[in-house]
Amino acid sequence: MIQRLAFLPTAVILLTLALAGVGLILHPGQGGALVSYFDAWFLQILKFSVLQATLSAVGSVLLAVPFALILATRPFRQQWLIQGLMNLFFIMPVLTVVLGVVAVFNDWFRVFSLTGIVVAHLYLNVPYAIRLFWERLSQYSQTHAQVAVTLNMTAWQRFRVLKLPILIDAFRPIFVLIFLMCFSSFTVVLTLSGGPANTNLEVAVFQSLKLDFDPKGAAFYAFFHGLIAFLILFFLGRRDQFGIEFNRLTERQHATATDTQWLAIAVLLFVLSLPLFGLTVDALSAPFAGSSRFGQALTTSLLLALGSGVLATVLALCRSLSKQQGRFTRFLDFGLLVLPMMVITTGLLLLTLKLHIAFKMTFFLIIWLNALMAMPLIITPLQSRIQLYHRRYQPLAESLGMPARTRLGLIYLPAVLPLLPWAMVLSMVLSIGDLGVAALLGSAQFVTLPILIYQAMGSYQLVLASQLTLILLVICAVLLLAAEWIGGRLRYA
Amino acid sequence: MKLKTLLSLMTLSGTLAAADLTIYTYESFTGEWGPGPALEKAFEAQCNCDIAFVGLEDGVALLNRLRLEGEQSQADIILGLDDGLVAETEALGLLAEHQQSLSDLTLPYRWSNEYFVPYDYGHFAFVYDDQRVSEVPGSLKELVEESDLSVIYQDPRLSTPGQGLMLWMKSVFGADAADAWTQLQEKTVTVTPGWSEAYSLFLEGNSDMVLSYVTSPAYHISFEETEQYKAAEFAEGHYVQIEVASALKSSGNLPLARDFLAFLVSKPAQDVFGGTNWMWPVLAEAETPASFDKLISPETLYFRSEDVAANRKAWIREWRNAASQ
Repeated sequence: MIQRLAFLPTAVILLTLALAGVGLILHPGQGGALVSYFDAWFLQILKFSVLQATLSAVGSVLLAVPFALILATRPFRQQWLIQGLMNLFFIMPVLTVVLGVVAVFNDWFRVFSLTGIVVAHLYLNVPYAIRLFWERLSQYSQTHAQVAVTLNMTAWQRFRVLKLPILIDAFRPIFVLIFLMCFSSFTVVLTLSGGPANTNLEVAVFQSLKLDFDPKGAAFYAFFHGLIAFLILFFLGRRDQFGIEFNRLTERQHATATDTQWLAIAVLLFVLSLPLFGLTVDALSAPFAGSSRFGQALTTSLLLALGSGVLATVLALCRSLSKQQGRFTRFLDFGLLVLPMMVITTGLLLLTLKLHIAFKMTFFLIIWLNALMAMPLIITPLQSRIQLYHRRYQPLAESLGMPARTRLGLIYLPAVLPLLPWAMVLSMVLSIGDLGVAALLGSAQFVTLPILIYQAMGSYQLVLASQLTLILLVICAVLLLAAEWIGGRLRYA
Repeated sequence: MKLKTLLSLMTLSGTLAAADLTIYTYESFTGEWGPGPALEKAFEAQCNCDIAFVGLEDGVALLNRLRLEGEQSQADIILGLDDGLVAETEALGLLAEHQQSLSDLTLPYRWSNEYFVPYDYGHFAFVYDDQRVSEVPGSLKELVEESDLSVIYQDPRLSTPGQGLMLWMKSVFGADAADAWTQLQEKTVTVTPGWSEAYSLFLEGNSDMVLSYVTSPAYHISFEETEQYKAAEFAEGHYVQIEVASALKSSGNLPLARDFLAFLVSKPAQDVFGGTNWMWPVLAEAETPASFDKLISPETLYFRSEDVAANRKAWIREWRNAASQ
């Protein structure tokens, strides 16, 4: 039964890709000969795509590690606040980050360049990387830590024996995730590009499908996107767990953080809040005019988010139970990040159009695609917990002849319970902010908060757009903070 | 209660199917700040029928949706394409003749298309802040070749105004467009994916000028009561965008669709466009916000849409290569 559950996400992902593929084959557009796509321009954008994604991912990981190490030195009561805020920065609207980076750094260096692109990507991804590293580091065994102290190990020895292996192992999936996200980054890369010289593969996909109405070109570029994703997963996608991560004793939460921890928190909050400053000033520059469809937009957004949040969490949990962790199957952990989203969305849209169910399906498609996009972003910590408990308890469960249901309830659920609120809410807020899928499908009669913001911007209502964005962020912040608070109670209570 | 909302959302298709007239348009048209709601109310009162708007990304997305749906399209009317896309859309063979007399309309150039009804128009322009910029170039040539001003514009591959600038550059510089793009690149702060990014960056002081519309200053005058934002008038003329609508042959209610097209160019509808779409109405006697009186009225530049269709790919490549240097 457990392996049947584990097969569910495999089936869903493969089905999605297959259906999108069928849709694309039905695409009426005509492309050129394959050779015609393979020109100097293509090589240049391929090179640029890999370069900016590598720099962004390396930078994110390098910056995140020291902060995560400090924050994880010992748990403290207020950490749910910091964790919640880290998640919030990760889901910050791209335009807010871009405008913020320009406003803050334009006097220091040329932001409309590769440097600016990387800095904006750091803003979006460092908080996420910190959150994931922190999670892994906070799990190492207290028993081992006590033994280390008894053995009179120096701080460096303790770091090398207890933390370094975890860091090195956590590095791989986090790096790959951030690399893939930056690789398909669109608005950041274009807005800060400074001109067409700095273009990535995603733009080529967009141009092919939209302006040239050319599915062949899109498939060509998508193939190379997939190839790069596959290569990086092949070499870096491996995941391990260590016995030292098994924590029998839960460390007591301290009443407050250490001075070093407070310093790290202050630095992080200061630097990360800078883009929010511009947004807030903008939003408060005029009274809130409001929108007659605000309530409707909010309800729809929350419903869509709830749907994708639940689906993403279920898929991620099922996938984590899978024994298939080989080099070729691990791309499943990355869901739809391995291909350009626009290609998949267009394929599915086409299929639903051919079947005359496009408008009936819009709501489900948005939930479905957003769930698959969010799944890879929450799976890393869930998987490492579940696999660890699996290794630890599998022989025991076997020898006791424990039925699957009991195993799920007694072994796997306790393993991930403190993480579930985080996983669920993070995938929810990732979908609340989604515009891409909804905009491409066409919003029949319903409106979501991002669509409302988009409509406001298109009608010169830039201040109102900032106000709505701020409201959206506050809602996300409340959800994320609540999730981390509940997660903390589940872990430390 | 949540379940009820969910159910009502899932049966959206029901409301769409129940509408007497389904109109595909672009997203900002349907929003509460766009012309959609006012037009819907006025037309529904007149026809005693129910109309529904479906918002897509922009004009190009509309054309693509039509290509994908073909004769099975759910739309009765497609609204919001611009004049540059007319030839490609006609070539699909999906449109019905509008059968309207358009002789009393005021348009930037003579309109004699039997499928598309034009309902508003606007010229592209570089907008500047007169508190910041004093030496305003008097022509596109001056901006490109002599001026020191920095500009932000939109990507011609991804946005309508970007496409407009490409056609503008081509109609002014012709065979020398590549050199002009390379020169313009030296003054270009960045090229954004859409209008909002460009305009926001400009308002925050990141460039002297931004590519937008002649009518953009009217918004600032009407709502922010400031005249500091102005459109620069260029001697060569400005490239124009005429927005058009057409009924589809496959419509189950063609007479009603034609009534809507007639309504679009009637005074009650035309009065709406100025203050909501920030474009010029095509009916001379239509009302516009007072701020429109302060706008420049430049000469018109345009290409035939057949020429746009035939050359778009090559011109985009020309821009891409020249601006990458």
